[in-house]
Parts: sequence; C-alpha cells; structure tokens
Amino acid sequence: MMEPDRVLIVSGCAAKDGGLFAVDGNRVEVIDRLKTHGLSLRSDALYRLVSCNHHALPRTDLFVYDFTGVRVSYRLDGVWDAHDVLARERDVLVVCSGDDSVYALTPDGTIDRWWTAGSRDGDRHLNCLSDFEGVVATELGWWKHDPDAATGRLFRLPSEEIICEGLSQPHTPRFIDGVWVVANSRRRALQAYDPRGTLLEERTFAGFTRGLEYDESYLYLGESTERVITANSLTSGRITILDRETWEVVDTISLPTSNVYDVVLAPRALVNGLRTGFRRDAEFADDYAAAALRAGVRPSPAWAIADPLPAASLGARIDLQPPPRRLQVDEMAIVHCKITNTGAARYVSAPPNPIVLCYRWYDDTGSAVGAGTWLHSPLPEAIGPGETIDAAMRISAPDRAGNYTIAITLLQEGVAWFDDLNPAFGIRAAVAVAEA
Amino acid sequence: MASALVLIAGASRTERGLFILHGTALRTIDVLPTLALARHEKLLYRVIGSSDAAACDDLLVYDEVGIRRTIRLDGVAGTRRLLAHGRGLTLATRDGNAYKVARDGTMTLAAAHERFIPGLAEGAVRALRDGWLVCDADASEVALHDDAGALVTRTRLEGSPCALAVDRQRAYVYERSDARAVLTVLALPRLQILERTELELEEIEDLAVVPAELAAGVRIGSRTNSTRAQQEDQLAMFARAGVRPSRLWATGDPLPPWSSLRVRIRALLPREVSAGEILELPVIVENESDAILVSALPNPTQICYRWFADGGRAVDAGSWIHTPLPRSLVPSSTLEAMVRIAAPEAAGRYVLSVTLLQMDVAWFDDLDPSNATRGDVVVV
Repeated sequence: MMEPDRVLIVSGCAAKDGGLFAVDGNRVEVIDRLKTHGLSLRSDALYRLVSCNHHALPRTDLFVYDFTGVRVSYRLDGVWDAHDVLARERDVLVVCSGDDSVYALTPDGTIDRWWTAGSRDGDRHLNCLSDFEGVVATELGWWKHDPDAATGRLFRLPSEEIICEGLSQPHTPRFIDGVWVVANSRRRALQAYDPRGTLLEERTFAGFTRGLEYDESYLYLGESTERVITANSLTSGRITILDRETWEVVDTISLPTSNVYDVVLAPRALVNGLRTGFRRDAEFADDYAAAALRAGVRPSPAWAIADPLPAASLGARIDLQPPPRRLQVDEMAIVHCKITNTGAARYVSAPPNPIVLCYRWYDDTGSAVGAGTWLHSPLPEAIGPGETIDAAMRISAPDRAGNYTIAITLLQEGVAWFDDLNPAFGIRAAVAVAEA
Repeated sequence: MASALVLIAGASRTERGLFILHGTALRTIDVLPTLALARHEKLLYRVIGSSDAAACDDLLVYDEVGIRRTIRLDGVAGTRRLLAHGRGLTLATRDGNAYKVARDGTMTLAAAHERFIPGLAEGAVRALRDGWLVCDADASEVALHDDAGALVTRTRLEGSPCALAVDRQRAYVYERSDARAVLTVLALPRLQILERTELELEEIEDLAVVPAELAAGVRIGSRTNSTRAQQEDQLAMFARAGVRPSRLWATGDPLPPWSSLRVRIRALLPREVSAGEILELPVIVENESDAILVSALPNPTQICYRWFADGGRAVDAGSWIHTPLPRSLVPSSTLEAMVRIAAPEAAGRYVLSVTLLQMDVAWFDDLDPSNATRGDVVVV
C-alpha cells in the first residue's frame, strides 16, 4: 500500500494509552508510550510534541529525531496544552491550545509568541496547523458549552481570513489536489472545500476523524474512539486508507491506542532513530529503559494509582508564597506554594481519584461562590508521606467584585476536600476582588 | 567548603555519574557518564559520553528549571574539556580536536587561533574575568595567566591537578593521587591553598561551581514536563514488573482489545452448598496482564462468578453478585477479597466458575478459560 521506503508514524494523545507508533504495511510497532500530539516532518527530521497539561508549570517538550535518534530537544517554557507543531525553513511553529496562541521556536532555542487569538483560557481551542501559501489553522471555536456546536473554522494566520466555517471540532487541514481537505471530527467526517470555502465532498466514518497524511495514491486518515463508547463505537483507534481520487476505503489498520492525533509518512530509516531516541548504546538503553532521557531522574517508588484514600490517610500543609491580596474580577493568577504531605499515603494526580491542588472562594457571608468553576491543578509530582514539593496553581477570581476568602487545599476528586477533614490541611487568605 | 555547591563528574567505586558536594557530603545526582562540565552565567553545560566508541557525545544545557535543551554532538566522541564563555562554547576532544558549538547546536572545527590558549585538550582551563586559570598536570601546578597569556602566578600541589572550577573568590582543583581523589580549594587571585578534602571518589573528570538555584535545576534534570514525568514514573513501574503496558493509568474505561488479559484466580470452592445460600469465600486474584485492573466507572472490573448446569447452560444470570476489587490491582501483584456467592435456587449438580468481569465489556474466562477457577458443586 505505502511506498516501500516509507512508513506511517502515528501519534496517540490519550493519557491512558497514547504514544508513538510506526505502521509498516499492516505491522504496527509501539515505539513508546509517551502521549504525543503533533508531528511534523522536515528534511527527514521528525518533530514530536510531548505536551504538558500543567497550566501553572507549563513546560512542553519538543523532540527532534533523525535517522540515529534524538538530534536535539527543546523545553518550551510557557507552552501548555500544546497540540500541533509545524517545522518551517527558519523556525518551528507550535500551537498552544491552552492560550490559543502560536509560538515560534528558532534553532537557538528562543521561543516567542507569533500569534494569539487573545481569548481567555483557550476558549477557541486553536489546534492544528498546515502550511500552504502561508500558515493555515483550525480551531473549535466557542464550543465549550456545546461539544456539537458547529463553531469550528479553517482560517489563515495571522490575517484570520476565513477559508471555511461551520465545522464541528475540525482538525488536520491539508491542501491536496487544489482543495482543502479537513477532518470535521465531531461529525466523524472528512470534507473537501475549494479555496473559497465551498463544500465539494464529504464522507463519514465510524470514528472521530483526526490526523491525515497522503501520498501519490492514498489518503491515510486517523480515526479515534468516541469519548462516550456505544455499541457501535470503534474499540480502538485506526488508520483508514482511502483512494486519493475517489475516497473509497481501501484498507484499515487497527492501532494499539484509542486516540490518534497526527499521522505522517516518513522514510523507513527514521524508525531506527525513533527506536533509539536518547538511547545511544546498549549500556545506556539498559540503564534508561524509559522512553526519554532521564538525566537527574529518580522515578517515584510507587505506582501512580489514586484509589480513594481513607480520611485517616489524608493530611497536608500548604504554604503560600506570597498569598494574593488583590485580584480583578475574572482575573487568572498563578499562585506558588509548598505542599507538605502530612498524611500516611502517597499522593498522585492520577486516575481513578486524582489528588489535585484546588481552591474555593467564600464571600463575606461565608457562602461558597462559583462552585464548579474552581480550577484543579495537578501535582507536579507524586508526594510521599513527609515530603514537601514546590507547586504552582492557577486560580480564577470570582466574577463579581467584593471581599472574599480563598481557601487553598488538596482535593481527592470524588472523595474529599482535605480542609473539610481538618481546616489545618488548607490555608485561607482574604482577597479583595475589584472590577476590571 | 563553606556553602559552595560543587558539581563533580566522576566515578566512585560503584557508579559513574554526576555528584554534588554539600560541605563535605557527596550525593549522587544521576549515573550518566559525564565527560565535561562548564558553567556560564545562569547555565550549566554538561557533556555525557557513551561506552560505545562509535557513538557520539551529547550536550545537556541546564538552567534553574532543569534541562533546557539537549544537543547530540554528531561526529564528536570523547570530549575532554568544555569551555563556556561569552562567545559560545568550545569543546576539546581526546583526539586533540577543538570544536565551536553555535547557539543553534551546529558545530565547526575550531581553527588553531580560536582555541584560546595552547594545550586546551591536555589541561583543565577556566576563564576568569581578566585571565585564565590552567592546570598543569605534569608540573603539579595551577597557574594564572593574563589575557595575553603571560604567567601571573602559580601554586604547586601535592598531586596532579586534572580538573578545576572557579567562582569569584575561589578555585576548586581536583588533584589526582594514588589514593582517593582530593579536592583542593585555592583563594583567587593569589592561589593560596585554603583547604584540601579527600572524596569518596576514585576519579574525577570535571568540576563546576554553581549557585543553589542552578544546582536545583540540575537535580530536576529532565523532569521539567510534569505530565511526561508522571508517565515516565508509571512506565518505569511497568518496566520493573516486566510488562509493556497496554495502557498507563488505572481507568475504568473498557480494557482495550490489544490488552493481554490474564489473571490467576485462586479459591477453595465448596463441594456442596444449600440452595439459595449466600457464601462468603476468600478469593486471591493475581494480575498477570498488562493493565491496571480497577473497579472504577464507567466499566468497573469486578470479581464475579457464574453457575453452569449440565450442558454448560448458565443458571440464574442476572442474579450473580459482583464484588468490587478492594483496590486497584497493578500488574504482577496479588490481592485477596471476600467474595459473596449466591447458590442457585434449584438443587442439582453445577459447575461454579469464579473469574473477573469488566462490566459491559467481557468476562475474563470467556477470553481465556484459564482466567477462572472452576469446580463441581452440588446444590442441595
């Protein structure tokens, strides 16, 4: 099916079963299990985006592989919830869905914001990039209150000139044979638009469509399982191969991942480089069997499973540095703190009941305000009993001016707020919230 | 040693890697074979090598957050010395070459006049504000030269000085001797000996003095992306269990079709029970699969059983009692649970099969009969 010297490289973005996969004919190889979003190929080098979900400590990784392994890696400070990467001649663009911005990375490691939607909190969910006669992007639009909303669009950057709109969670635009082909993911569709935005062709599939690559003869479309599994759902992600001209399905290849994010065709020899990664020799590989470079790494000595803990095992001390005193209505702020585990269990931000850093607002009558909108910040690492870590959390100010108390503590989701068990397990501070 | 934090690339009797000196206490940071160190302003540069002579070295760049960049040094193996200065990086290799490393990671062979001072590859050198400090191992001396290369002063040592680091007031010199490694502290600029400390190391490749903030970044290393670090920790646990995970976390989602679902169920099944009786049976479950089993929504994995009458017909389906796993069960681990089993209402001969069930997904013994313990039971 594929040209004999080419393989498909597929990224999986689900936390539970993501990773990097090489598809050679019908054979699928798991390269590693680090969840991965965007991929970009340029000059036989593969750019791989390993996203960071920690919005208060945003440090995304970009790994650049060639035929012999990772040639260079970059830490992208300030970039969180990154979704796509586009390697260009002089720089690399990275989409940060967390703040609806595009960042440009130059080879010397400098990263600057290249474009921003100016939206708050990733409301537009900018997600994928393409480059044909300039940069083209997809975004979900103002979709958060209705996942089915047809608010997505395909548009040029930085001009924001719209190519087509009315899409439902679009991804992966590609300019193929003179038309824009885009995954209209929520509708499980692949669509083709002419450059003026007229729908020319549409075909629906069984899964959530995302990830698209093509060669002379075929399109390679990623399909993912739906977030809500039904009897007719796919049970795993897959690559569906379509005839490039007719879009007839030629073949499907099941993948050991539930969520496909990106697909690229790459030289077969690149797979050796992906397998090698940072591991350059047998001794190194034995010592550092995990997927990424482990300089300075001391793995946590316990499995990260967060079963519901008994109340007697929960205890914490929170030290703020320094506490916020004034905020504006709806202001987003980063708060740094130290967390000490004074309990008798290991705390991790992992399923099924993650322990997270959280807060509650109380007005001057003592009533909780804004329940349901309080932001949860994962712990940056597991904390053993007696251990102290530095952490950062994002807080969102109430939507009305006034005098409030913020109570910051740990929360085991679905189990308990720590400061409900003992007020000493949290910290409180008075905060004046003023009109913006 | 006052409060200075000295990083040491070296080898103890048991491990080779990067160490940090707190006062006189030596702690291991990691065990990556480290060839050279250099600090410039807020960055630390570290070259790691390989046991494979054909492999190239790697450059790690640290700031106070952790590793900022890594650069594979294609074509460079056996780095001997590393100089970080305002003009960039220069590294010298054991084969006598010197390379300039540009900020974008590209390397060029340095011309002779760009090697700053003769003998870069042979001796340890550090740049000072207005000169150079040079170790002369053959002469057992440390010498201070001005920018023009003229000798300013020198100090004789007991051993051979083979590596050095400097801060504003002190120079830290590794003296090689027949016994343990010795770290000697000299006052700058006059090079008086202030202190000599024997270290639990057999060999030192290089030294760097760093502020506490940068040392913290070195300890963090590659754990800068907390999302990735948590995945790596979990992957390491699977690796220790000898398992390649089908998925990483303990979720209640349907176990994927690519999972290897193998469990061992052990229980002493009764030979005879009364019709309609509720039994309480201790059951041991061992997870030999490649996923974490958890009784969490939306598709909890639970301990369950089925009764089969003659001919294999399932009996009383819908009334079988489900027992949640008392905790998440990671691969290669075992738990014991008290399982409640309701005997059939009708007397007769039955087969009882105790196994795991993922709700709305699969009975484990349907996937493989060995995922259950079975026995003949007479219901009276």
